[in-house]
Amino acid sequence: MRRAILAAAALALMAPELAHAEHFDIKLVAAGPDGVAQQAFADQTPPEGGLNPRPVLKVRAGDEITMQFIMTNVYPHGTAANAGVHYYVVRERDLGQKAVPAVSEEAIVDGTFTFALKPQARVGARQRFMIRQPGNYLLRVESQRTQRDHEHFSAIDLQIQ
Amino acid sequence: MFCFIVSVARVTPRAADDLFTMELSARVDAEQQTAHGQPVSPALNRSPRAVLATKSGTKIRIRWSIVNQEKTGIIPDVTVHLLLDHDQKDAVYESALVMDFAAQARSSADFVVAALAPGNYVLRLETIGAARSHGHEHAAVMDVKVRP
Repeated sequence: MRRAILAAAALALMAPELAHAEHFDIKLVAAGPDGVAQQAFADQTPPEGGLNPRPVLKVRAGDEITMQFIMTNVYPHGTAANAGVHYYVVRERDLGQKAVPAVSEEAIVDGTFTFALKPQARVGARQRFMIRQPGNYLLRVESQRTQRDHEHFSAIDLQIQ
Repeated sequence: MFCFIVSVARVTPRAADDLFTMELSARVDAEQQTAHGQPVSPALNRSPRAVLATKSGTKIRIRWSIVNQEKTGIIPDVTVHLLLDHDQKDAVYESALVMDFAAQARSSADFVVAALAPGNYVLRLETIGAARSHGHEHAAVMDVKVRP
């Protein structure tokens, strides 16, 4: 029962504010110590890097960061049988840069889901992590293989001081 | 007759007969542990669990997959919930997704967690909502012991 409540709470607490995007609603939150947090909503690609400026979360090296996202398929038609979600934290050269860095073994966070994407399908995750090296990093969650002419993502820059 | 059909439908099948399969694995360097999904029952908590031992700060790669190997039929609105928590109170990682498991449908995930503090963790993958049409839930569980 406790776990059922946890799962329901995980999705409910991360519940997105609807109507930010035509296909996917995304709410991405990054929180550092002392309650400082930034949140971002759905953008789309192409173009690479999307249209919206990214918020910046500033924390110190070694601080614990909690990232949390939930994506909801608000497109009411059809199912994509092999859709995916990819989320990651990777180093980037400049805050706000449009180019999306490659995800390698050096990624701080790297995760994928593969699932049948039906209308109102929802997927979310919450993960705690630390970055020990100062610099600029990109936290990004993106849809994959949705059988449409574009994909959706949400992203936050992390400035590690 | 109706009661008989209902009671047969609700009999928990043996794991080997169950075509709704779940696999959970965790790997550190060359060591990997795998847990297979079992129907959730009081016996599940008494079963011996796989244990992955590692050192604090190392990366753990976790993968899971769930397949409905039935040739027909659908198991709708299944929440797939994964939780990695420390002493059952401190979640390091948690995820959930909702999908319909049509015949032959598959779902999977692959992710890395790092920098776990020393201690004992439980990694649990479970379905929520499968019992409505499938008769029972499934779960796969393993322990993760992190040394200083």
